[in-house]
Amino acid sequence: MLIGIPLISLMFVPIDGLFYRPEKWPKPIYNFRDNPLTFEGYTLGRTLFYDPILSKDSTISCSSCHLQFTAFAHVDHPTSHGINSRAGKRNAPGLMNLAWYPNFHWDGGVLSLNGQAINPLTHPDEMGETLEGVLVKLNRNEAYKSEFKKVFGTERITTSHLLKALAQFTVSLVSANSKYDSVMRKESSFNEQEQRGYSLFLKHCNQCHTAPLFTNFEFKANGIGPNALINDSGRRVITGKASDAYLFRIPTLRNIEYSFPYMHDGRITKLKDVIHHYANSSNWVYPISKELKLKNNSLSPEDQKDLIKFLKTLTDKEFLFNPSFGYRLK
Amino acid sequence: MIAKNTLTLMSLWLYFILFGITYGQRNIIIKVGSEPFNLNSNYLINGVDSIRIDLFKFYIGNQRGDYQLVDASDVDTYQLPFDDKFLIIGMDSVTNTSGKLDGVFDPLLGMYWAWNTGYIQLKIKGNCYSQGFNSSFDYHIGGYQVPYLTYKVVKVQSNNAPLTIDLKHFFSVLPIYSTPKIMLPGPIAQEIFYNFTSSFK
Repeated sequence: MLIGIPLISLMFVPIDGLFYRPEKWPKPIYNFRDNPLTFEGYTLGRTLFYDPILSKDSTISCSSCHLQFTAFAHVDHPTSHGINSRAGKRNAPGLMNLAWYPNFHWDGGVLSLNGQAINPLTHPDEMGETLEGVLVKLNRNEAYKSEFKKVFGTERITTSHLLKALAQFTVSLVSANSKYDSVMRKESSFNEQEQRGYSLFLKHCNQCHTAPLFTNFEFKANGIGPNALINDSGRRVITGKASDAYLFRIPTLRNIEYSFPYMHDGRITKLKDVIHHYANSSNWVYPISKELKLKNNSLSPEDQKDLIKFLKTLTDKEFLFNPSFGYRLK
Repeated sequence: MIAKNTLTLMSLWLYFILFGITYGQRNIIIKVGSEPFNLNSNYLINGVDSIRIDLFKFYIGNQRGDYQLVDASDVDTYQLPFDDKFLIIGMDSVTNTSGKLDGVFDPLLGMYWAWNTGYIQLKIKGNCYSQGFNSSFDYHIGGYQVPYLTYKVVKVQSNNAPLTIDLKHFFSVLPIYSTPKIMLPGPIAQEIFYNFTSSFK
């Protein structure tokens, strides 16, 4: 009996940090058959994620804009920044539960997690490197060569090896052990205020920020209006459809307490101001998606506080401070 | 006596080697009218204009999912590693988005749209001289979403003959003056693609 309890808790959260599917969650979309997870592959991906060798001048790593303690988002930076202090157009999103995403980026233009990393690697405002350049550097590095050989069995590191190794790490960033999750597993319970907030959430937010992933992965206009300084028409860039102009991905609310600043361009710093925006339809700017228009019912200041209390139950400290996701000493 | 046997053996070997190499392959011949096609050569089109191509690459595959990236700067790629009667120009959406990122699908080859997932099916870049003016053009042609698909099955004329591609008509209908640059799927990209597929004889 006594041995059984720690064993069960180990089943939920593997200490090595490798991907797992939380109980009652949908089937992941990521194709694990194409890139079978191994501890060595995950570890190699983790090393690469924290290594500035991937950028043109070896100054920026993936972790420069995706910090673990802020759910792999970029604290205090409205939009991502890259080599030579260049600024990007969009807020670096938090990285978690990526195995369930049908597509990636604020505009959904990237269809596979494996292919995603090419974008920050090669974007002139991010890491500014070329694939050729990264592979030359990695193939010159004996430590990397031997690690890649262990994982993929070949002497030469190729594009797909690099991308698959990175994906083994990022797909393993599963956050599913917040207070909310433990309440759902009936291991603890909400206090009164959280419970009121949860009821408000189910009524007002869950339609788009659908549990358990807290997003339905769709693209919507939330009434904040186009950014006057950044020319970015969002989903329209990908589909070419006029009706998709200024639509952006509905982001997950998991670890929302820590993944500020908010919105696709990071224009709102405080969570209470985000809630205030949604609660006051008089502030909304065209375009506004119908889900939001239909709501159009304001939340009292008390409601807003209760909702924030609930949203804070989505904070997963174990995820934010899991040493398996952190910088790896070589 | 020994020499004769060795000779017979050698010719047998040679036969097998040749047979082995040629089996399951088909060569491509690219022409502009009656002239052979080469990069950085000038061709007369529409009787008055002179066109020169700097870069020319396209994907060709079969219905079993094998693909080759034909690149005019590398004649080795003119030998297809398959000899199917039906060939595919362009890619279906599954091949396009399956996330295979190695071999002929390696994004290193410059045929991958990273920010809007999908492969460029045809890349052609060059110059056109007309009545004293020089106009450059650059086309990245692809698209797998309805309605702007770039996908066509073509039937090879004869079983053993090489696949001949005559670019003369294709060159003459390129929208060099109205649309000199295309980097996205769309109606004009699709039209260029279908004009290209009509070059396959």
